Amino acid sequence: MTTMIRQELTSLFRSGQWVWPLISYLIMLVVLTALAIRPAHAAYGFVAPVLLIGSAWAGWLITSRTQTPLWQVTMIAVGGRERTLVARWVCALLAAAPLFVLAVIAAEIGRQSNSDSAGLWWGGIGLHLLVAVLGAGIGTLLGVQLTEREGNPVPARESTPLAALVIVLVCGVGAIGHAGAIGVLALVLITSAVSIAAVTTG
Amino acid sequence: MGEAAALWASGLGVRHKRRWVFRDVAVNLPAGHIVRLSGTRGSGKSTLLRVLAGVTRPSSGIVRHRPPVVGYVPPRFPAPPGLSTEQYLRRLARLRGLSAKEAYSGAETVIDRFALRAQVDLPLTELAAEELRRVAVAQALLDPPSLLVVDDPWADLKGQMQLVATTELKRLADNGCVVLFTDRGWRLRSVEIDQHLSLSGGILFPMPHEEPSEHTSMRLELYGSGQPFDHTGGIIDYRPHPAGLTVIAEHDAANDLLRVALQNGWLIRRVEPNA
Repeated sequence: MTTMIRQELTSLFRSGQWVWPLISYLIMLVVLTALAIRPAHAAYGFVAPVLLIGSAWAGWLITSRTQTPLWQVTMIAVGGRERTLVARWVCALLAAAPLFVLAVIAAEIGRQSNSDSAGLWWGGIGLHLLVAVLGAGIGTLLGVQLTEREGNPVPARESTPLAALVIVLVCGVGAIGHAGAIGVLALVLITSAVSIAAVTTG
Repeated sequence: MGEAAALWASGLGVRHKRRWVFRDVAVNLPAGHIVRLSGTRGSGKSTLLRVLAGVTRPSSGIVRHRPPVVGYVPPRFPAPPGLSTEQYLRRLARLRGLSAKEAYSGAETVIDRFALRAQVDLPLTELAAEELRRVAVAQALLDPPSLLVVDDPWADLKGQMQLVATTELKRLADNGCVVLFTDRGWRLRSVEIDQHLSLSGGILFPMPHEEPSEHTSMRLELYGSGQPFDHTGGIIDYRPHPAGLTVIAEHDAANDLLRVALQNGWLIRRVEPNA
């Protein structure tokens, strides 16, 4: 199983499919942090949906990249469907780990800029950890379902803008209540640019 | 050849949405048996093979005594991107739990057996369909399996490789492996099967045993510039011609004759029952 986890992560890294998801994720975090959210703890609430989708995206990328026959061959080699799924879920968790760290950094910057307390908010960090695990699980499940039903992986040029759009919508809904229409517009413009870039580069 | 059940399943059923592809299927395959599964297109042969191999979970029923090492050759094998033939085979061998040394040795063995030496460093995406098919069969034999499930393994294989694949099936069965295969074109009538099961209307039933001698002679079309071997036993007719050689042989001698022909430098164009 360790071999599979190592191979999957190496393969994902080499494929470069993580570049656009990471860029759009970072843009979202920077924009959200820059909104200087109030009250202080709301920074965590803002960042959490982005982390959920980001980690789900990581899980999806790992599990939906393999075509069905190759997935079946891998499953047999690893020794069963359950073992393969667990290995891929662990891969998704490891891929989501940097996203979790970035989310906590962004949320802490946002929180501490509006608060006098200097220490970390461990409750928020724990909540984010839960969100990352949940997101990776959802992404893994969706990716496997998609691979097994459709028989083909979703090309990065389709999945990337789609996921970016979902992030925009989620962040946009959150932003309406806090930062108003200008924030939403900025998010839409930035992520549309990312989506277009992803489509053109594949 | 032992008769202990190597693979046993009962009450198997697979449902797609509201339709049952098959249900209440029972399978009992002893070790060392070569089993052919036939059926019309869409009858659920591939689904049943996947269930027995452990790739798909059945909607109902259980599979017991599935051996720990299973080989599976899917009917379609897309090229994994970004990997050469050797990298892919070694990677799969490692996934099977073999050490780096064993993985290297296993990959080298199947590379030689399936004549993939020239393609070792080529990316899989650049291989021809027949070469890719050889990789598909080779990956299933990296770690000698106790259950080999092959879904139409000869679809793209040429004559020589069909012979290699057939020899492999027999060798594995002799070592106690259960070999379960479909062969849509029924290209390899020379494979001596122990059971013939047919899946039709969602029901699995045994077919009458087909004696290989039903086709009393085989026609071997050879080409190239090999040495004559007309003194070999089992030859009914031996006709050299400018394009190669046509040999009509007794059914039971066809495999041995093909081996001799290859040893004598001939290439195999076609092997078929003599009409």
